[in-house]
Amino acid sequence: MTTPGLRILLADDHPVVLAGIKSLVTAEEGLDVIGEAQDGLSALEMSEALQPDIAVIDISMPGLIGTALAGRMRTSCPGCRLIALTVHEDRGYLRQMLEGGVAGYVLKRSAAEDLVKAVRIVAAGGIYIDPEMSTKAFDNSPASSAEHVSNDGADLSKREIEVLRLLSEGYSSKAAAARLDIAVKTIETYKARAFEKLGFQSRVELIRYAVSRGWFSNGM
Amino acid sequence: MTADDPAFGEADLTNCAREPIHIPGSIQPHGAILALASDTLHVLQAGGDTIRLLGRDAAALLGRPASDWLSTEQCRHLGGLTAAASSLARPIQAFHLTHPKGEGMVSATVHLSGGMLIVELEPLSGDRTEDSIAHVQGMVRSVQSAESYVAACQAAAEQVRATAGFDRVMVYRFLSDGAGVVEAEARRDDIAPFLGLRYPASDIPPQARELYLRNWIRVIPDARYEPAPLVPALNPLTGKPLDMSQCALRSVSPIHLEYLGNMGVRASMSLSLILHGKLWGLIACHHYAPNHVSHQQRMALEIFTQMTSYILETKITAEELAAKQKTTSLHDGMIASLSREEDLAEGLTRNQSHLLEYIMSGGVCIWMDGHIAQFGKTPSAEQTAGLVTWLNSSVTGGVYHTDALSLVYPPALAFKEVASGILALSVSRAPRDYVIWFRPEIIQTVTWAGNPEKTMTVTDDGVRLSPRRSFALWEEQMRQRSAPWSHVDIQTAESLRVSLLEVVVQRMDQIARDKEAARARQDTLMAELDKRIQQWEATARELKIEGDRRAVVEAELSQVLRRTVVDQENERQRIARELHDSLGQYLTIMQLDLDDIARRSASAEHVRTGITRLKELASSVGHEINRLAWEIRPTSLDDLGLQTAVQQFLEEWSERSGLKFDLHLMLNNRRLSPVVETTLYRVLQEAITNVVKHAEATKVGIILEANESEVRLIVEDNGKGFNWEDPNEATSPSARLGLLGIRERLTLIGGHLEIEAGHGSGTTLIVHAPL
Repeated sequence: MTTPGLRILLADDHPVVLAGIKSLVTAEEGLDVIGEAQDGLSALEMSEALQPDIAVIDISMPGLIGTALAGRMRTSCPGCRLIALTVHEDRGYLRQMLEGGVAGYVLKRSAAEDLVKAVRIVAAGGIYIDPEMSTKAFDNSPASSAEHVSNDGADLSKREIEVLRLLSEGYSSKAAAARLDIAVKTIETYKARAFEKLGFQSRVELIRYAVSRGWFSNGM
Repeated sequence: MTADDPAFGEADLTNCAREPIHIPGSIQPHGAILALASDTLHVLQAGGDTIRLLGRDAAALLGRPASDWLSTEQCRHLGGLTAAASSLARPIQAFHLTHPKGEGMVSATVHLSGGMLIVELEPLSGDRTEDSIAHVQGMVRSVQSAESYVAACQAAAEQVRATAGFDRVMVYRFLSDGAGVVEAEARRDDIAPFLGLRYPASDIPPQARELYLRNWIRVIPDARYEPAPLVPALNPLTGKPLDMSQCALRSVSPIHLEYLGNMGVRASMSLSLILHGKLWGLIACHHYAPNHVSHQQRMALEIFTQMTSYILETKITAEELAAKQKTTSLHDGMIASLSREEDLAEGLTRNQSHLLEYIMSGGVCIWMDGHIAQFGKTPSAEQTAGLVTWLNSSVTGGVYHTDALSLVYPPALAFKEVASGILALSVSRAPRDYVIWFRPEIIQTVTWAGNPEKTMTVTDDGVRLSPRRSFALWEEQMRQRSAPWSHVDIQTAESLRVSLLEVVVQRMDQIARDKEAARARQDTLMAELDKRIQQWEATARELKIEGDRRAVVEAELSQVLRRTVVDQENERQRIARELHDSLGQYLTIMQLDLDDIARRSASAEHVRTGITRLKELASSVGHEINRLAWEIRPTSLDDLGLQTAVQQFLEEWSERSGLKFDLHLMLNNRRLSPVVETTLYRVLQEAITNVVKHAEATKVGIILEANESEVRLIVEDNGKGFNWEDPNEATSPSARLGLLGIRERLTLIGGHLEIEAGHGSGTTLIVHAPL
């Protein structure tokens, strides 16, 4: 045993699960469980005190939820690589955890097969994401798809711009009509004409255009 | 009698009114008179034809008792009459004496005067001895049955003439100025009529009228008689002349005899007509030869003239009454119709014909409020206006009348033909309103029996006052005069004026009452209005109370609903957590245990195969549990926030539905209140469900953004859209229900939903939620 084993911190609020994972990990050569925490806060304290190489943390824990815990541990224990071990299959969690700095995301139902593998990949500097999650993949948010915001719409009339600005601020046609003291039909005419000039089909496109033109300079 | 008063027979026309004609001291010579001491019946004074009637010289009678020429029985009779002195104030027929020379009978009438028994003797004309009472009855009946007062006068004249045999019998009426007018006449056919003639007042002096009032009958059988003096001239008992007021034989004033003589009248008789205790007129009889009227005839005529007086009184009264009734009914009719009229002037105008009839006139003017209405024969409106101005300035109010207008108001000369007389009644004070009756000028011809102004004649002796000698007809014309307004006319006008004033006052009362009634009605209306307003206020209060109550109930309901929604979400959250934390963990333990078993029994192939299958099963169960938990309620919503949950949700739906989502999520990791996040998440779920189920869209745009005050969620699709405003639009019930659910949830957090939708242009939901 000359090679020092990986020092691992386990955090799970469920004692039986914690015990199962511990036995799973300790059964492996070169993996040492140096601490077990049953809530987020004690996990944070222990990580700071023990400075583990790897921390395997549950997401849903009392005290400090996993996503927050991950962020905190990056400062309290910068050298520690984090693996989320969770029942959550939502990509929202995955994205959050990745943004929080975890290097591994393992579903508990795959733990028996994949946790040790994940620990080793992460310890080696890699990133391990449960295959179940990765198939749902990283096309990330559909929000990023629109690229054609560069229309400068130079030929928009003043009135059209006025209407577009209101619509981009979330005004309905009716509310805009009331605001400008003109008929709803007129608003819709302006909207249709402007959308046609700009090649827009939706408000979402309009909003991107508005952002790009700095219409929301005060904060949005 | 004073020193200035003339003695009997010495009066002239200037003083005849004071001549003591009741003590002439002489009698007419056709009879004889004896004044007896009432106790002893001795003769004190005597005069007249005693020789013919008693066979003795008057002087021989003086101082002798009556029994010298009367029977004992006759003396006793006189004594008895004297005892009943009260019945002897007027002469009564005592008895008849036999003419001393056998020339028929002598009538003796007696009466008491100055305590003496006056015996008047006249020869009795034997040819008129019929029943005088029956005769009078016949005469009276003829007068009574006359149809009018004028006819009655005519009947009376005829009856008297037939009875007393005069050439001319006139009914002569005194006028108000004392003159007399002949109202009816019966005459011998060959003499000139006097009917309608007037005689001046001075023809019958006042003391003569006085005697006419005391004696119903006065007879002068022959105006050319020589008066027979009484001897002695003064009464020996009193030392005064004998009062002969009641003596039928009394000698007449020489002036009167001269007067009769001037008319050529030889015999006369006057019967008094006394109505209402006043001398109304005379039945004056003239004969152009001596005419003796016997005592019996005189008695009959006296009764007749009394009866005739009563009959005339009755007839005149009846005729006046009838006229008055007619006037009254006209008056009442007019007043009744005026009372109903809105406008007095109009009402009077409507009654114009009645006004003309009401007071006989040629025309009438109604002058009211400065307006003029005239009808009949009247001056021009302008002339009448001038007249009204004059009336206002010159005459006090009430009733004014004149029958010679141009004398007091010279401009009236211009219209004397229609208005020489006016009768004006004023209805109001300053400015006065008038009703004016006009009477035309009548050139009145009055025929006097001689010129009334010239009763004095000039003789050689200078001016000599004597009774009228000339009875030649003398006509007087009166110009610029109308028929006079009678007392009745004026009274009639006065009573109309009083009534009109009453009408005016009543109308003013009526106006006041109307005003009062109008005010009362207005008060009632106001009260009613107040009541209504109070009712409305009460209703409004009740509505407000009801509204408040409902608001409370709705707030409670809303509370309950929110509570339910929150409870539901809590429950879902609990279940989801349970699924994750318990089931999920236990499944993990199961898998770890299975793993452990597999390692320990590595030798047994069939066991390992079974365990592997179990592990796969457990993995599937775990996956299902996770999906189930997510669908119930994504824990990421609580753990990671709305935007992450939304993103997750849309990714999930993108895979499932094949819709292309275009997202613009600007919340980043900003966390909102749990209830807002849950609500918006559920709203999005519902909106997407609707799009998937109903919109037939291919693209959906989602905008999620927030400022300081609100968070907006916009869901737009490019589907078929619908007309949300049209209730008949065939949107599916579930879509409507979905939208309703969205609204409900938003309401609970104070948010609201706007929908923009149209056929073919897709649907846009704009959700506003306050922060």
